Amino acid sequence: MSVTVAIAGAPNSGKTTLFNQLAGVREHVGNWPGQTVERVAGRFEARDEEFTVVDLPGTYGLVAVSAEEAISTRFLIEERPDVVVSVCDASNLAGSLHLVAQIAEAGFRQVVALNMSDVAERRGIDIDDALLARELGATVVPTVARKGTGVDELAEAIAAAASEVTSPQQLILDYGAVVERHIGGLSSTITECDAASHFGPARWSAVQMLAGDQVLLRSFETKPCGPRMVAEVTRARSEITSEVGFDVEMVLAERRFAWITHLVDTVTGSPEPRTFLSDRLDLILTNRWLGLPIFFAVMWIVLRFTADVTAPYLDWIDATISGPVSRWAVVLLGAIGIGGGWFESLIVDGVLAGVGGVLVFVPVLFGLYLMLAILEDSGYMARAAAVADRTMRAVGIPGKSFLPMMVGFGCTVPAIYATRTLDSPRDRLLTGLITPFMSCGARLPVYVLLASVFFVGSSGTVVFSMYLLGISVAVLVGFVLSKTALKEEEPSPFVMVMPEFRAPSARTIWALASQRTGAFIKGAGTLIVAASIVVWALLAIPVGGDGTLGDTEPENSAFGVVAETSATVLEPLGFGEWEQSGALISGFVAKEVVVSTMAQLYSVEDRQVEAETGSFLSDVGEIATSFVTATFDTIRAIPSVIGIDFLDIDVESSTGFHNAIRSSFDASSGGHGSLAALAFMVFVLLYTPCVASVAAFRHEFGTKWMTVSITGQMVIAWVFAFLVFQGGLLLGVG
Amino acid sequence: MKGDCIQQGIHGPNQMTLDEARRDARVRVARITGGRRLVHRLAALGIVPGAELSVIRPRGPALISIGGAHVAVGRGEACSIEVEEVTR
Repeated sequence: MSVTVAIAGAPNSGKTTLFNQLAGVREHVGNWPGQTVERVAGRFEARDEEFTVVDLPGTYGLVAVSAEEAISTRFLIEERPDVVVSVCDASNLAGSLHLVAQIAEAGFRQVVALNMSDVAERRGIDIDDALLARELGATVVPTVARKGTGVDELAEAIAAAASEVTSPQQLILDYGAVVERHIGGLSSTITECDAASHFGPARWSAVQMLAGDQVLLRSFETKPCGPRMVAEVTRARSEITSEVGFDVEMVLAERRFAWITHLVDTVTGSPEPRTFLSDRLDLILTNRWLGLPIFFAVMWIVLRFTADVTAPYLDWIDATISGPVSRWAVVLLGAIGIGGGWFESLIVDGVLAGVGGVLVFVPVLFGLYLMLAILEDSGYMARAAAVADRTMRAVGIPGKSFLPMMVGFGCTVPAIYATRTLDSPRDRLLTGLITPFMSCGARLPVYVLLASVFFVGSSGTVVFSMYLLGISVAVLVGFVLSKTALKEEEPSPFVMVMPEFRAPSARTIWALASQRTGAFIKGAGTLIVAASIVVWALLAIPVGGDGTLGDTEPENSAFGVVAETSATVLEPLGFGEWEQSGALISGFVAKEVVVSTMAQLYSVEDRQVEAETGSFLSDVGEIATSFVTATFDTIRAIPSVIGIDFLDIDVESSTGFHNAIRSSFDASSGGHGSLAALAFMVFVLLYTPCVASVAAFRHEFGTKWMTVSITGQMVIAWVFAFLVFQGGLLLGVG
Repeated sequence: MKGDCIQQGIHGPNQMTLDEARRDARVRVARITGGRRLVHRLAALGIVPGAELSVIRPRGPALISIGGAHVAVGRGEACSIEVEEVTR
């Protein structure tokens, strides 16, 4: 049987990097129960034995204050891992020892990784490892996770700890006469209640519950003596508070910190407090006036990098799938004798189009993840959140939501994944629910097309107001949610550690970006391909007329019927023609296709894959050369990230198409075409961005919240479009 | 200049809330008022009664240095931390 090792540590202690170094490959093993936090495990071998390593969510102590911290506490209590590795920031030993002390008090076999020992050394902090080890009753290993220093020694120390036969030494702190009396009383009740010590040493359980830990208390509640336990803990807590005059948790923390301060002094010989360069840097980066402009500049670079630098690869993937790959499929199917029919259409327009729909997001996501990983790893993210927090919190949205919301202007899919940078599942969900209202790049062509038809001369204003409306709706929804469904009794306090600035490590960044991109392909890919096939089927199935399967006019297909039916719902909004609702339905799959669907449905053009253009070899050549071109384009795009250039959008703009749109909107709205077009734009802005965003949302937050999200978006889009159209009619505009 | 917290406790002559502290002052935490989550979060970072810390900036948001680490503290949270200046 393999030995279970848990890795615990505060956020930004380098815990995840150390885990990666130790386990080599991270393995996503599902989410933690009831949480949207991913559970990651790995394996390594030492002394011919296999070890399973579990990466616990970042935590500052064992008494959980957030749902995420509770995960760590619950895992430690319920699964009692054989060895706990606690990762310390050696440059801030006092801050890290709180968790270490608690793990030692809980009687775990502990290996302490003194991480970032190089930073500590640079600052002149000299830690006596041997002395620290003796005081803690644990093995201490200095590491520099980002360079891989000390990782082998750590593995060896874990193996050594695991093979020990004596039971681990439990750390006993003196909490003062009053508290000790209650610890004694509670301990005997605990021993009766949990005779087998499932939850660890009785003394620790007493301290933990006195400190107000709900996780352990709930574990006891399941036992027959649970109610008695709860009553005794409650009584002891209030008695201590009245006797001492402070909350119990304060008394416990004060005693523990007195011990820690003494320990740190003993093992380091208290270095002189010094002012570091980072003092000044932090004053600037979190300054009320300078912080925001700097933040916007950084965001601008992130967005431009994500959008522009990755665009050439996106085009390359798109061109490869819809060009050579589709052609090969047609040729291949023809060769085995099943070409030309509905099956070929299914493969090309259904499956391959769907796979392409997944793959086009890969460059964008990878680019974004690279940037995010750099921001996180360098320590800037915490400063950015500190700056944005004040403004955002006024409307009930956490400061860290700002980043995903900004990313949402580029693409909703990476924006949903960017919510992972937030602290609590509640904050993540709230942000995930509001980011889709930020107008993504794919919605822009729709605004531009309609504005160029109906709002000649003021199209810029109209397009810009769509962006403003999107932000307003996002903020409004966030505000309402934070007051209702996602209300918090006590909002998470704004107390944020500013981690040490450091040069990001290429290895960490690359690992994070590839892992997250891979998770998207696995998690969201299936749903996107499935949706593509469904739309294909709808368009292929003939319902009227003389078409056959895979070869039917859109208005005679099942798609036409669905569009016709849903058109009724859209009539009060001024765009109840089936072509308009059809465009919106395909827009549910991807906003990129709204314009092309309109073009197709108004019978302006028709795309057909040709079976015989170019040989296999010339196709391969074409793919290779276009990849090289894409790479050059990417490199060339990097300097332009810093500069500003104007949006470059090409929209099919034949006069015939314009006229068809104008007459269609005029007809559907009883002569108020402009107003209907405006309502249509509002609808496009606010309803579900695309099936990929839905898939990403489901991947992150589960099916239940996905349903809530889609329903909410549909209702909000309908209501706002209704207000625009009917309100406009009432006011006599348009 | 004094901060604009809604004052909760009675101050001693040398006592103030964190947002009222001087820039670059060395202070000792006297008391923490406020919710359970705040108390826990602060405690986990070593900000407990008796702890000494340096005020890098008292507000907007407050920036303190404790045990070598920088911590940003929001306005409302800074109002919940009562401190007294340590004379060196």
